[in-house]
Amino acid sequence: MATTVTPPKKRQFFSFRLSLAQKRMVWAYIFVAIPLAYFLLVNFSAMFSSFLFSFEDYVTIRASRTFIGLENYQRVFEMKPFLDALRNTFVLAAVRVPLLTVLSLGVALMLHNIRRAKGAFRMLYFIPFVTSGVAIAWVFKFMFLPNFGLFTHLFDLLGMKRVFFLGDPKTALGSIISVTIWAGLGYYALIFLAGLEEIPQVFYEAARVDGANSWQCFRHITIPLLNRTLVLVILLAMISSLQSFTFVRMMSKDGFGGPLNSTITMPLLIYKEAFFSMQMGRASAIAVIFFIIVLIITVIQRKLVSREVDY
Amino acid sequence: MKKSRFFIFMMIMALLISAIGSGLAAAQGGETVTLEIWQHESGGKIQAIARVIEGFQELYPNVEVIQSSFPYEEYQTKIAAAVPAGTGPDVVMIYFGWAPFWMQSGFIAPLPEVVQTELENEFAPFVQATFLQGNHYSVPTSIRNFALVYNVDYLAESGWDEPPATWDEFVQAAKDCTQYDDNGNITRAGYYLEWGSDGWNWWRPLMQAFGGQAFSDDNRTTLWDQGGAVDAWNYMLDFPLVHHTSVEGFYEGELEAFAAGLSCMTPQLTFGIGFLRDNAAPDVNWAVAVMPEGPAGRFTTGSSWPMALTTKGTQDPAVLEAATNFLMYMASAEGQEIYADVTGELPSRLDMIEWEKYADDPALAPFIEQLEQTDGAFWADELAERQCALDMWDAVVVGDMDRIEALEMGTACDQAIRDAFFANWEE
Amino acid sequence: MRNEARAVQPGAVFRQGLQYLLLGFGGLIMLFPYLWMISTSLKARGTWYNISLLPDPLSLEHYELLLSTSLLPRWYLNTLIIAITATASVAFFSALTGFVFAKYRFPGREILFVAILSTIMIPTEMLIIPWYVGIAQLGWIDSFQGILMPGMLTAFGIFVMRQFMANIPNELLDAGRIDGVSEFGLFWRICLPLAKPALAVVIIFTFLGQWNDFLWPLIVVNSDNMQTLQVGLSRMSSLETGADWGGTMSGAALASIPMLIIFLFFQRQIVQGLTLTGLKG
Repeated sequence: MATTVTPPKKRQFFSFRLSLAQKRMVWAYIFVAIPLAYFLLVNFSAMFSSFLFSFEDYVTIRASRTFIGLENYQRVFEMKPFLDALRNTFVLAAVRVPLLTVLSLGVALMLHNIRRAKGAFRMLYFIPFVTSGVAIAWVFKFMFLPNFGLFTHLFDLLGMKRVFFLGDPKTALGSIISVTIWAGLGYYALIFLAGLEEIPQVFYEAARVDGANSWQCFRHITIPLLNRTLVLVILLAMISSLQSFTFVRMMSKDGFGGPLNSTITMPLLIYKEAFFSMQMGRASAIAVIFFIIVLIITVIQRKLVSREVDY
Repeated sequence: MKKSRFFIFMMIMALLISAIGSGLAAAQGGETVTLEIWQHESGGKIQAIARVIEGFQELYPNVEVIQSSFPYEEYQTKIAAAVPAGTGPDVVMIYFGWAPFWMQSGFIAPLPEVVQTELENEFAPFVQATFLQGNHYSVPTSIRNFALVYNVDYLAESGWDEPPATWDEFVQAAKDCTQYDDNGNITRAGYYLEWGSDGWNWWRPLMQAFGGQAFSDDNRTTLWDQGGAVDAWNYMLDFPLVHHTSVEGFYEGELEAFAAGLSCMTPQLTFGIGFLRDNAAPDVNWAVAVMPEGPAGRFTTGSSWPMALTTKGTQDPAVLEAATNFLMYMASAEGQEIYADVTGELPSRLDMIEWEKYADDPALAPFIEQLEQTDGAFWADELAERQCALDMWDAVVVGDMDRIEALEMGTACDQAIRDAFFANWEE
Repeated sequence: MRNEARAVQPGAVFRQGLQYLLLGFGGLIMLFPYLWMISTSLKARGTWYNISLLPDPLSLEHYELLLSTSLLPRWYLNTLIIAITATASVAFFSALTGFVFAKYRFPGREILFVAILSTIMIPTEMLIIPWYVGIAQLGWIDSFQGILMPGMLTAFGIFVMRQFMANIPNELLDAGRIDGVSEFGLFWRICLPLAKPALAVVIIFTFLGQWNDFLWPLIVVNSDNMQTLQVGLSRMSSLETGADWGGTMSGAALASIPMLIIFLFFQRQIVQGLTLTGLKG
């Protein structure tokens, strides 16, 4: 019997008579074919080209390119701007992420607690998120002008010593970071607010019955239950901090992270090397290194995240 | 139902847009020659080149010109992105200091024979600045050099009926003319120095006035930290640090501050005259004098944004012919006159300097008087070298570095660029 | 009820008051730059350094100049066309791809999904020259297709759609299959309508992202006619020619105010959307 059944089955296989599950699989591949081809062409092949460029002496306005092995990488680590950019990017992330997290959590808590005009306040803080970065950068650049700017007048009014803001390497990065915090605050506050609204009110009521004060409620109910939101905010803030381009490009004194490279970030350095200095090979090497750094940070963060979710 | 209709609408729109786009791209063929000209965007330059193109097209109606302009900060970006893609300009406006680097990279090509011959006649010595390895590489649009622009009323108020004639007098006049508020902040700068825009450019003639020079005669060695150059460096640093006639970031630029009546004097390139005629505040009563004199004499320097031919422009004979005709037109008295009239600068043909409208203009006379000295410096890679100079200034003025230490750092930075450039120069 | 009772306690009233005060102060800081921008844009040329919130004299010259000499309306149109096209494409393909990754089992599913997600981490700067070379070969420089090319699909969109669609019960799909609904029909008629909130998030964020995109258009756009709002705005003042603050501020105002108005209307969807991404993160 078995011998008579087997051949038709084989024939079915060769004539592509598929089982239901197999049919679905084929449909799945058909549906994802265009998106996958797109990512392959647009992202991965470009990334691969860039990777190849990083081993070449590739000056963009020169017609020829030559393979030079690891020389670009070697040069990059000797470049002062590279070390500056690395430092600034980390400083930016290290200052911006915690400040942004704490401030936006504070705003979210207050927005959550107040009883009237919630929507109006919420929108007020959210406005910068829907404003173009270029427009924000222009406005703050204008207010930061060292002599005629609004902040200088404010300092004079308060009898404080004048500060150059964007013109002084000691204050330039801080000035730009404060603008990026201003611009991001409402977005993260809204994410927190969404998280807060998910926490069932009964927990607080039960705690109050037990005589817990506000701080205890916050410490033992809000924070643990907000854990996932917290992790998300930190992750998003980290990504946006590492990739900061528009603000540093628009606000730094010379558009390239000045003065004295005090505001240059990794993305801006890559842009500068590739499109201003025309050193595409070197720029690609920096991009590859930066990609690896971002990858490591993400992996570490993911490890921490999964641990905390298990909790 | 509604949503799916919305989606279909979106998809159709997306398709339509790409179809229109490719249709437009296809329609661009045809019998005429298309010449792509790129230029840097500043003041009247766009309009000036647009007018030159109009004049050119009257003579050559079969040439279609695509004119694109970009701000200074983006100019490099655009070219860096266009070349590897095989697109970009056929004729390009460059800063004269970029010519060596761009020529060495093969981005710009030697000018056609006829244009080179034309440049040998009747042109200001400045054209030598882009004469490299036996070939001319660019046609000057105009000639610029430095002269001293001053506010007549402000200086008179401060006891100066005549503009300062020497660099020592210049310091004194700047000090006399500066005004402060109660907190000691400058309200009117005797001389507001902005290193990155104008200051660092007239530092070179200042070195010469103090008996130094910026580069060795073969251009291979940077001499910023030698002799008179050091005096010139200290002289300039003293304005913000010792004399307090200037403070960093006082206004948007030297010329803008002067035009707004916020500073008393500024050494300016010829292009500043056009700017002041259009933008000076009505109560700013300005005049022009020759540059002050130093112990070793009176010096100025030249500068220009000339037009060059790109390697891409030489590939198609029809395009090359159109480009050649355009460059010849640019070099002609007609082209030079149009450009000079719009920008308020001086034409680079020496025979034209004698025309009444230039020679008899009191604002232009001091520039013409010093026109003999309009050699431009040789730059291995002007943008990178400028960065060295900018950093060394910031290191002292907003950083805490010692003056000489910073100067040596800047000199070494510049020397390294020259070393790298000349290592490949002979081939 | 218990809350109501607490509200009348003086401590609670004080606490409410304090929070309003702090929020109000913060709100002022958020709002002030906008007031300053509008105020400066209405100040006459040469008076924009006056430290006064009320322009004196009041002048519309910057707006007039901007609307008559610049191509601002054209930039608006360009940006709108780009943002709408990209958003439509991202919304459709993200939903479809998200649907597949959420509801189908097939070999390579995990690795493909991770591969797509990993594109989030590639710095854009790394891809730009290869992109530029590619679109130049297609003749797309300075065209809508060229600007649109890198943004037609995003990993973020796929991620959001997959996370949301994973929660749609499989039984619904099986029921659909029994009724003879095609595989595409399952997506289009069953899953997509249920995933509306997630779709709204993807649409809003993609639109915003496209509207504010800066780096890529900066490089692709050459002619004045093709500029996007952001690029046009960034070119309004140059380091060399000095700043035209009145013009810049009026440009910034014209670029941001319509977006603010649009998003006032979508406030609820945005908040809902954030709740969603917040939960699914």
